[in-house]
Amino acid sequence: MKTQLPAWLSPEPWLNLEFSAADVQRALHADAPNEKTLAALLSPEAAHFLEPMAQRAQTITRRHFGRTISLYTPLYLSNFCNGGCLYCGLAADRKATRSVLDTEHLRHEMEAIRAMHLEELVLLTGERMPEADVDYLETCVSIAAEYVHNVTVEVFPMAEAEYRRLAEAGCTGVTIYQETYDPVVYERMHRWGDKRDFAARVDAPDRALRGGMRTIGIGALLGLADPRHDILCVYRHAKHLLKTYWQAGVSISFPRIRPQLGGFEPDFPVDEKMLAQFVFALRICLPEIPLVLSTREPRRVRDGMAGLGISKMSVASKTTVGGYSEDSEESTAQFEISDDRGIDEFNAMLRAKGLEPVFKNWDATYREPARYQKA
Amino acid sequence: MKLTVNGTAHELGGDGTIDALLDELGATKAHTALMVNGNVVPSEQWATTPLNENDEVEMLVFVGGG
Amino acid sequence: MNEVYTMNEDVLKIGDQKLGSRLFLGTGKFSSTQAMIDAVKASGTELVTVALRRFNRAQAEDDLYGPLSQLKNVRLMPNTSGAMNAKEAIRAALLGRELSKSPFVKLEIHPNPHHLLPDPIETYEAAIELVKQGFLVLPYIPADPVLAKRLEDVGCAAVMPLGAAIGTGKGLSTAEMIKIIVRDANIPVVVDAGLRAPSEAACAMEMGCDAVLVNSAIAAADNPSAMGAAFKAGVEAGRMAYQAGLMPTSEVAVASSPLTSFLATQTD
Repeated sequence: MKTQLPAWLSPEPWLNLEFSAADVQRALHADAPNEKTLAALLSPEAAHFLEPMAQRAQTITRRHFGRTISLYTPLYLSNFCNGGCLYCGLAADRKATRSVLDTEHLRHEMEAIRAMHLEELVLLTGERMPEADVDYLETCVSIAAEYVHNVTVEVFPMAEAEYRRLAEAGCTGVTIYQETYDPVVYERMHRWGDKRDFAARVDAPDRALRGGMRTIGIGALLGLADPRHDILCVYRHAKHLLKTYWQAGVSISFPRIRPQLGGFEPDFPVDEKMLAQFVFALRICLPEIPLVLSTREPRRVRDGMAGLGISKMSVASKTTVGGYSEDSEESTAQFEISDDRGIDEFNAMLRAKGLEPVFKNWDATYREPARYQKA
Repeated sequence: MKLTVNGTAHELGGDGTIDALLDELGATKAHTALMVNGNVVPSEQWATTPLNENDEVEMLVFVGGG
Repeated sequence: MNEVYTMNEDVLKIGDQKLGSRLFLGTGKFSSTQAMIDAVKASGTELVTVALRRFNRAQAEDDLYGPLSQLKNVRLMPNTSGAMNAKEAIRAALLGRELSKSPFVKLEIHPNPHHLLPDPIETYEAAIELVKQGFLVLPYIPADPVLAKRLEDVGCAAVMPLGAAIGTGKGLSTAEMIKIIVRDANIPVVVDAGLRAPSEAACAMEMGCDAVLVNSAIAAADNPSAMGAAFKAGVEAGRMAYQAGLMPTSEVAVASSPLTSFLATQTD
């Protein structure tokens, strides 16, 4: 049976519309943006309007977030993985040095992170593995929560009850990218294992929120499939979550596969200008939700995009297990960091641009699972 | 039998059913909704529902409203 | 994309009920029953609200059941006006359903007789119970986006935020809040109360509201029947405009140093 995109996610009605310059200009100033607005701003025609889109995106970002950038940092707990993701350097068939943090090393990492005064953390693992299962994550969440206010996870999809266990241990949010919303490409990219279940991944954000998470981060790995298709789906997915779990915080990230020597070559490479266009387009259509840019992007792009639609950025990231305290054994990184500035240097850049770095906007006093009545 | 109907005292004769009360007051049955001691009594039960001494009856009709 | 526009398929669904008109009418404050009936007919409405009052033999002509039941295609939505709290509203709704044989109830609880503004807490409590009892609950509420979602969550069939206080004719004073309610809602949004002119009804529909409920503006017009027809036209125009997609307002671009020059140096 062929997996199909559920109707509530499908971008079909808007995907193949053609837009003129006048359509793009209308979309730039839409009062109540919708799928059609977004499709216009994602269109090739809109590429000629990058500067006005940037102006508009900056205005909206300033209005909703002020002159601030929220900071977070990732922490790789484990790079063990039985997954078959064609694009990932940590897939089971790749040569990689595998390791997992034990609780002692996790505490070292947390001390290093706390020394940078960071208060928002994303704990990462690969697919569900004996080395890094829900029990392990629950332990890691509760340890991390001793050190920072805001602990979130970016891990394998789970059942609602498992998400609830993490929420009760102090986890406030989940990030889970669909990778691609094109079911055919999805099937080709994910060669084996649990991750082949497209629908289980699409529904994971719903389960995470029903399990008591306060925030959910979604996104598509740009480069795998037609990025306009995927961004329209991300938008529809976000709207679904915003309407259903209306007390929840939804954010969108823009992970981009960058061509790398000897690595995975994306079928739909997304260059910087396209990336910028997509960020501006989503900012214009979703004025209030955090848009996130990671250290996958080079510093020039990060500096330029800060406050230009983007309202939240990772900083001082290490993508190796034990990378912060550097007292663990060697392990292979999931991807290369393109912006390796330390926290002080990065904050100096933000301040020079008139942007204030925000370390904390949530207090652990409120740390109990969220409840969404309808769900 | 002494009743309170729409806040005022009423002496009910007849067979003491709700139907009898409606007839006595000249209400159009199909246009009336009725409550006895705070409980709604569906019209199908009016012919057979006996009223009791000191019952409080509310008889209501539709009027203009926004 | 260039088909000739028709409104034929534009049906409003409230719960499992379908309505062909997006104008709901209140039946109060008319100079006579006949004036009300004429206005209802002229407006094309398919849903009218009615209130419950104590039977009074001396005022038999106030009984609207007879005249309204003569009208074809018009369904009744009893309101709970007069209720000061949830308990009274539930009782009123049950009584109303006995007569209307309709699943619709306009849940309104306004404890203050002067401004008649709705009590959100009692309304919420009553909504939970009435949904359980199988009603299609349409609560009249302050234009509060959080309350609207809470009422959606407990199963209301629609929400009816006020444009302005009942009878004030101050139009869409709450427009910005109503826009948020419309954007976030998964159920129909009906602007109820405050509208004075058909242009305001059109404006509410242009904002994406699903229907409007009008009473005073029609009842208190010099010619209620003509005003009913005018509101019909206003609602239809606004709905059509919403579906056609309004042109955005223009903003003069602010020339400043380019924000995207960093992209010119891209290397990949």
